[in-house]
Amino acid sequence: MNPVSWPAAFVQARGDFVLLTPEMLLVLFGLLTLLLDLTLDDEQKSWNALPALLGLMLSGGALAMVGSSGKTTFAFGNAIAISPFSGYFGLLAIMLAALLILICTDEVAPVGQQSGERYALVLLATAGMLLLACANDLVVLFVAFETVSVSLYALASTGDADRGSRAGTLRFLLAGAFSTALLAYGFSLLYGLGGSTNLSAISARIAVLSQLSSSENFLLGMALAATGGGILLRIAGVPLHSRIPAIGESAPAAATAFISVAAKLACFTLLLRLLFSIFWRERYDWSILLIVAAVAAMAIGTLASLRQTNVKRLLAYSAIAQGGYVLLAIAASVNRDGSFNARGLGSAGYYLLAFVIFQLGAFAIAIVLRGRNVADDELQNLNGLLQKHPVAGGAMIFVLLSCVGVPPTAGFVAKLEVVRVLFANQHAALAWIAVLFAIPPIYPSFRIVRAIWRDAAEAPERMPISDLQVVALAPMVILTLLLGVFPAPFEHFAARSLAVLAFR
Amino acid sequence: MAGSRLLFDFFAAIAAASALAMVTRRNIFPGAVFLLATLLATGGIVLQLQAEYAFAAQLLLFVGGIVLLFVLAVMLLIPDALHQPARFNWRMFASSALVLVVAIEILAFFWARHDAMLWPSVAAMPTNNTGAMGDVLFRDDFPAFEFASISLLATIVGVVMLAKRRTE
Amino acid sequence: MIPVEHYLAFSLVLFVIGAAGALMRRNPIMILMSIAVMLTAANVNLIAFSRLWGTVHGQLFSLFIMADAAMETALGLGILVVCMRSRGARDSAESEFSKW
Repeated sequence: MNPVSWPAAFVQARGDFVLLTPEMLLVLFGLLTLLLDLTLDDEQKSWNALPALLGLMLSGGALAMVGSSGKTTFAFGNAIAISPFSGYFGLLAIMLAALLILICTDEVAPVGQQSGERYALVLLATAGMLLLACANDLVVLFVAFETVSVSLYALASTGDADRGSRAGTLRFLLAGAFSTALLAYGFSLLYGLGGSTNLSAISARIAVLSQLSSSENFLLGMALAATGGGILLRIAGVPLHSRIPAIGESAPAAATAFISVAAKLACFTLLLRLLFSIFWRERYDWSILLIVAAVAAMAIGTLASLRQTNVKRLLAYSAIAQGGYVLLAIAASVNRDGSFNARGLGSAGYYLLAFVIFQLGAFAIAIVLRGRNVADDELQNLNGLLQKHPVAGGAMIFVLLSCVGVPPTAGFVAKLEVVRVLFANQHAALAWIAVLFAIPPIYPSFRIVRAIWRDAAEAPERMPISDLQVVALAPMVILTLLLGVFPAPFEHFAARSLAVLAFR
Repeated sequence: MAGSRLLFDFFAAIAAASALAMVTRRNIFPGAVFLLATLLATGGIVLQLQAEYAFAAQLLLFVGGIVLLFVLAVMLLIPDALHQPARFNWRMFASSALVLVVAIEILAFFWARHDAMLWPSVAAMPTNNTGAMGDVLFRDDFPAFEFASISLLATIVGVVMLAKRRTE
Repeated sequence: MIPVEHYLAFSLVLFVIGAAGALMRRNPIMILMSIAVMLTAANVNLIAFSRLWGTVHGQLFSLFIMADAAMETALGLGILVVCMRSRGARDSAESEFSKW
């Protein structure tokens, strides 16, 4: 490789940097949040939200501008690909972070004292997710994915050190590290097959391989097993010494909320990115793999959530089940005859959008339970919420309905769409399984609703809900209703954005 | 060439044996020592493949950083680390043996059906290894480079948060 | 250069040993060490392929993997130390982490 003179290289790269503005803004504001945190007294800590939210808004605007051309733009020697896909998932990530920070404001001490670092980590994780969405190179994919993961590990480990065990966090980290190692191994095989770390180059070379030796096919299969296994283990939460819900013991509710959604979002971004470009040749194989993982996720998540009395763990388990639905939707985007079904992908994208909204909304319930003691996560502490704070209680019930999938909420439409696509694709058995697994979550949600509805006389002492948190619930409720009643434009948007994947 | 082949075999044998020894130790400290051996042997293999920068990085980062961290952690947690129940875990031994058997089967398949792979004839490496890596690092993989430092920042924030004493 | 299959075989063996260790051991330090071995296996793959194709991208990738291994190890051990410190050295490290 001929060395290029440095000034020329920088001039060449300058235009490329502009395309990374959203990520850079997030990093910048994350650093600003950290610095600003140093100047604040303990009571003023809630001001930390300001630079964080500002950064998110600016980044969202930059994202819209960067992706506005609607075509795919390459940068950094094809290592970055800005496309509607990256715009869509970037948007989801920013929305997730913004909603979370809105809910989190006014956290009580001592947890609130760490808000500066927390928000900074959230922003850094979001920056990683944006980069993940626009990466076109194995190295960039890996580093972006690890940025997200490591930020999430760090986020999970903030929290009150006086709380007994952090074992859950450590188990989360170990399971994450294990799946990362699997992923790295799979990537190394892909590099070997493709001769380059660039996804486009690898896809091109693998397409050439289609007529050739069985050993290479075998290697590709191994790469799929390793890569797919690494990602799916994280989504399905198969016990490898850990599940994300275990964090619920030691990490505060807001952190658990963000982690449970962000980890899944990042995994799905990576999965979608890889499946439809490099592994397209093996689509029959990975459809089956996805279906197995989906059923496992739905089974684990649903069954485990039935027995929980801890609200955080309940919601985290139900998040695993929701992930199963998305996996089914992705599997459904491959027709029986092997062609690409944009509607399937669209339903997956739409489901993720709805998932971000209602999952955070549901966690808002858990966040509201904050007292000075982590033991306040039990269900009975929700008693009488409706009577004391009718607006907040009503909003929570509504969001919870979406979580379960009751009309006219977004969650219902999302599940319905997945089932419809499955039927249309003649995966009737899977469609019925999806419908089947939609029913059990009603029970634990009913318990939560009943607790909220209960008489206030049984309610223990609790921290009041701040107005700001009520304000944060508003966009969630509105969006849930909007998506539920007028799903079509959002579904089209999702389908259009994700269909780009098919033409890599 | 026979010499390089012999060298690879030597390093590979040491690395594999050390790794195996590492996962079967009861006490952690010998495990850390075997990890060191594995990493050093792997470094030898890396160097033989003309990846000088990666070799140096392996020594500095993996051996000098990670193994150091492990040893440090082991020493901090000495009562826990050395207090191992004195039983031999047959289940672990059996499952490890099973996993190895599966791996060997995969390898056997691999070799038995060894058609001419479409590997290219071995290309020439750029002579200035570090320079070539700098080229790629600061041009193509630049976002990766920047975000690696960002994830390091996240790690530092996390670790500092862990270490901070609560004022409550 | 030695045929690349040998490197593949070696890295597979190393990877499998590491994976077995990560799955079977319960002590978190040992798990982290096994994961480091798994990542080293991926590195060997990358560098062997890099030599084969004559590009340095693989070596660069291995650098980032090393950095990631360091990060996870640091965070993991940090959490472990904090955890153990606050609980005292009553029990062995294994008992706490052996639950599903």
